[in-house]
Amino acid sequence: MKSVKLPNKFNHTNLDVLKQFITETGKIIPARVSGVNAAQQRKITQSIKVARFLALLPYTDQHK
Amino acid sequence: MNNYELTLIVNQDLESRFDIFKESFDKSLSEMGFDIAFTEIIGKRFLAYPIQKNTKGLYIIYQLTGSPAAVSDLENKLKYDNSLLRYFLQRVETHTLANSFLTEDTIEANKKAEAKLAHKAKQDALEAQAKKSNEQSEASKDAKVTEPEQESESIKEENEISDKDTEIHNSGSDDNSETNEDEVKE
Repeated sequence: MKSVKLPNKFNHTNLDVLKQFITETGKIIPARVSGVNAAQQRKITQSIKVARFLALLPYTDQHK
Repeated sequence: MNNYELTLIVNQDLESRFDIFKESFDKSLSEMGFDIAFTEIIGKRFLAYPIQKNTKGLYIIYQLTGSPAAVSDLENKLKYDNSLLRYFLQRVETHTLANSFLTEDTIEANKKAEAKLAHKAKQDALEAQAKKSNEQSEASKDAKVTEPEQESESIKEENEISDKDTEIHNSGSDDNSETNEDEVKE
């Protein structure tokens, strides 16, 4: 697993941070794979879900 | 009084009338009793997936301060605003009074798109030039051009044949080695 860079403060607009935690197909990478702690993972998933709603990140790679 | 962050995705058809839209929206916000602490105009961005068949949208982020009662008014307005593709109203503890990563990202993406367009235009121009010169040369050397093509084809065929030969040769040698090993084992 490549090392991940997680800043102290981030939100749904920090796409460069969040893109490290989604797969090519758009799935959220589990904490047991990325190695972040539980509190960080909660924040990451929440931010990714908001970013998806705002069409900043894809839900899947099969959008038409 | 609470702090809120409001993100809007505006229909790209409004791009030409964007300033007018923003002015009227600011006005209605202040009428509802919101203080605008900071406005980030991100501009046109590609959407990660199409929304109502739109592939691009205009993004704005407002940092607001207002009463909870005013929020329901605002949500009522946003719900029935046809010029918005999406809105996201979130309560925050403190305002972020600086541009987010999105502005930077959008500027970079726009620059890349421009560079691509410029590159394409250059290549198209080069191709057009090449075509012109080709046409001129073809007109003068029609008879000569056909002969070398035939030659190259025959060379290709020869190459293929030689490849096959070597394959057969290799397989044959492999068989031999295997049989030799068998003999040794026996």
